[in-house]
Amino acid sequence: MLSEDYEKMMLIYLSGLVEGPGFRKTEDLNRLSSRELLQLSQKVDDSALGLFVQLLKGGQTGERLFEKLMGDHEEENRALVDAFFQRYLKVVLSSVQDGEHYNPLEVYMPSHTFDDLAFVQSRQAFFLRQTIETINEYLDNAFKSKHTFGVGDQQLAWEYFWEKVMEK
Amino acid sequence: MGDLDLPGKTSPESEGETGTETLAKPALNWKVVLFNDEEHTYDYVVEMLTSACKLSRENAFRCAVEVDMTGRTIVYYGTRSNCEGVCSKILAYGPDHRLPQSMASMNSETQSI
Repeated sequence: MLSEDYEKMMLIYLSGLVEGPGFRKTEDLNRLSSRELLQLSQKVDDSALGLFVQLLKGGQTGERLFEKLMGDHEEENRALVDAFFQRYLKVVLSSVQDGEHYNPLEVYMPSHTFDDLAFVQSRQAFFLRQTIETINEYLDNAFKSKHTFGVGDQQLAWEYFWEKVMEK
Repeated sequence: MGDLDLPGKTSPESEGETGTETLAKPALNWKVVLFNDEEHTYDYVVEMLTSACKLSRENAFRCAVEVDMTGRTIVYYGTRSNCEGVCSKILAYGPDHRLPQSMASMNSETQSI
């Protein structure tokens, strides 16, 4: 739920994006059809898209809002729906930008955390659910040598990794 | 008494033109429902669904938005045993390392359609 200040700020911002009467309260957005809502979302800047969705969540039930964001499942809205979700994904997910290489182990278990054994051990499940390619790459960079664990060797790789961390 | 629609039963429609008996495909009449909570991030839900349900990143993200907004989302359709397998993967996936308060996997259950 947005704070009152943010809510007012967003309503003023959104009112400036449409012709005719603007939005005095969040519920005024409910009068927009699915298509109108998606078209409005296209005018919202990336930096405000998260706030926009939070604002919408305060104004109507989750089921109805989700249906609207899905274009009410009308074929003619499909392009708008795809465009909305592609943008919202980039705003919400912290991990990757298009084309950017990303190793989740390097982001969430950087080598400077190896001194904190409790922290490292708490990430065991996270380590084990990575692909072996991700793990090998992570180990290569962490220990400055080539690693070639095979498919399905996650547990073996973890035992090796833990031993190396303990040696430090 | 009417015919029971049992798994594996052959119907006249499922037999080939030669009359050779073929096994009916198992009915995909089960689903896996994922439930919302405040202990998992969007990143976690997307990562978990792409792994456990083999969803594309885009579809997993839509499921994440739906579960956040409505409290639940269907993430998989299949046979009962397939759905139970998916459900087990979700329940075994582990906590979200991004949130200190996350202590367990997300909750899901298998339901008949």
